[in-house]
Amino acid sequence: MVPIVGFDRFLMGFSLFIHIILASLGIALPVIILSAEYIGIRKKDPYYTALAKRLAIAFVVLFAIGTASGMLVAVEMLVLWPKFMQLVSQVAILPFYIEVFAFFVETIFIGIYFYSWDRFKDSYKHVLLGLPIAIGAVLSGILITILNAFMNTPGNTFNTSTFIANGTVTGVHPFAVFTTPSAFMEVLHAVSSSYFAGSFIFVAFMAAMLLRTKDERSRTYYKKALALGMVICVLATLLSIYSGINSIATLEHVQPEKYAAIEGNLFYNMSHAAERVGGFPVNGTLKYYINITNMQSILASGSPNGVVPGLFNFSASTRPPLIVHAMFDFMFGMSLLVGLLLFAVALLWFVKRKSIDNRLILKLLVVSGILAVIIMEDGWVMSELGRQPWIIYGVMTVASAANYSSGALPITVLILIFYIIALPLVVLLLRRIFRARPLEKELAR
Amino acid sequence: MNILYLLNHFIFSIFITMLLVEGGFAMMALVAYKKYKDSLMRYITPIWEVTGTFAVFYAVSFEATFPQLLTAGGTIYAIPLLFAASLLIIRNAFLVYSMYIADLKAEVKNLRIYALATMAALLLFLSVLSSAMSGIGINLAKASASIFMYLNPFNILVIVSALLLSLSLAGSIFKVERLSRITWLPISAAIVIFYFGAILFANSSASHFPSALSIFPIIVILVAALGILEERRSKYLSAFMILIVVFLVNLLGIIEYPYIFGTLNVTSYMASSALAMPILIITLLGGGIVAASLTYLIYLSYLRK
Repeated sequence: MVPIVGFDRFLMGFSLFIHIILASLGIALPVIILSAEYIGIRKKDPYYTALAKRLAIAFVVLFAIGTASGMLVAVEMLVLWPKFMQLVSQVAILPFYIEVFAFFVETIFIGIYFYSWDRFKDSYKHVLLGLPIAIGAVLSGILITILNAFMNTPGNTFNTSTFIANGTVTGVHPFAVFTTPSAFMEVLHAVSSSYFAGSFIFVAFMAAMLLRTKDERSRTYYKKALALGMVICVLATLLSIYSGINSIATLEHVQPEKYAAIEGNLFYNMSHAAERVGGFPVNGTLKYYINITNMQSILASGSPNGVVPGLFNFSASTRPPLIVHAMFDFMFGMSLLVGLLLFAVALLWFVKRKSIDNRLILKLLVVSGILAVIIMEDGWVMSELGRQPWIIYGVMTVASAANYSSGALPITVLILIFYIIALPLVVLLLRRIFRARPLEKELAR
Repeated sequence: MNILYLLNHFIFSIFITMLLVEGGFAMMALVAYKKYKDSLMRYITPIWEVTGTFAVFYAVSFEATFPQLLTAGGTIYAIPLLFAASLLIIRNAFLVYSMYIADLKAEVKNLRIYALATMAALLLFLSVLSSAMSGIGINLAKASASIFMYLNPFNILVIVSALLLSLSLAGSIFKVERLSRITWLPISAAIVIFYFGAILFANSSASHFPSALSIFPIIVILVAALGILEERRSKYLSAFMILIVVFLVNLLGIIEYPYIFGTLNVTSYMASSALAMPILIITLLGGGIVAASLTYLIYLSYLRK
């Protein structure tokens, strides 16, 4: 029985791992496209207009694969975790349900926006028609995150004690799912992280293209694209840092087990707790870390006397795996690195305008793009692992929600293969499409 | 009749109708793409993703309406649903790729892959539909499905009638010469075959199917009206055709109510009263926004010069 649950868990995780990259691009790209189109019209700059048009094509391809992948993830949730979906449908379906309408608006306006270019005398009207795409995309992200927040902190959406006692669903408050204890912070962090990763992928791509392009007009195009992407990157990074710090503070109160595991708190609740930086779990203990005395208590409450949650206060059977500590520190370290790089680039840019041409900076931006995706994925996996063994914290375990039928195994293996080729497929499709439409030709028009 | 059930089935009927139109599109793409390229692409270009969204809408609406059927449904239909969802990825990828590729040869090749994936997904969805109606090939006690879910006379007749409906829709929407003036013929054949199959093969487990006969006069009137519109070469033919198919699929739900899998009464598996009202209100509000947006899309894409 356990291997099937393990496989289900792996498949779901792997599917989401790929889907999150597509979703981040789906959230960030409309903002970049609309900004480029707006600047292009306002400044009568053909480079920005070309950028908007080319990005629009890329977006449609990504959207096509992304939505189909989203559909597959939705079906996987139903098929792999039917008992979980049954409970969600009974108590917390509204975000999911509203999300469909956000998705609809996004989809319909994609049809309107992308296929009605040049059909309006007033070009600004066309930009306005793109706004519902950006709003629909981010709203979809928000609503799905609200559902994830319900999984982390079900709050008073229904009578959990009756459900735990006898499996009966009573006392349902349909709208309480929108105000669960972790909802606000989780939404803020998920949205900012999506913009962070999505815009960084864009910046990394433009930096890579700038590195290998010699044609002067194309270089101008990539530089302008890079500048636009960097502005969004900086804003998203600042918001991500703010929301990330607040998420940890929220976690301490609403998911103390997860907080204790992330901090590597292998003790009972205590004051004067040290901050453990780095380290790896070895045989249930943490090794090779740096201890900063009192720092955790000070960070958590502003005073060394502040009491922080310890893992030993919880049953060993419900403690999350200690690897989340290493994952959190990795995420924090990498974010710091990327943030510093961004700060350095921005500083150089202000001091010496041409610094964006610097090959070293461009190479670092490419690496940052890759790191941004790793940071986002690491953060998400850490958050999900930190809730283990629960699928709904304190209410339903992953094992009790799973589908134990082995009948679907062959097809799930096929899906796995699908997801392995999904991203290369997108890259291949985009490569072929843009090879047929060289940038130089488009700019020469 | 429960209003949530009606809403759910209405969403289903729009989804199935759009899928049937795409079935017609796929058939034409396979056999005569170059000849009908303009009318085919004019239809699919702005609307291709709306079909997929309706699939999601129906799935979520089903989850919201019948939460207590999810465990059984998710287990019974695991294979066809996962497979159909995978096919939709192929459909999307190859359709979009063919839209942006400049080379006609490559375009045709990619559209063929799209068409095959779409047809396969359509067949899977239809098999799920027919087995959910009849219960043939489904073991409710074990929450499992056998190969007979696909290979049974009722399912085969459902597929045949659906393909005929697709052909009718293709005739009127894509202006296929040989079909556009006799769309009433395949649609009539589809109706007769479907109800014949339902009464003959699904009757043993679903005693409510004979009530289909009571709505037969309405169907005859609709098909006759279709024939008149065809005769007059009315510009409203396609719209009327789509409405008829939506209506016919809707009728299935009304006839079928309150059973699923032939004998299971769905009313005892429906959403709690606490959720029913919010779902209803959100559906009406969201549906209004979607309808307005779709109307604008149709106006901009098909009507505005």
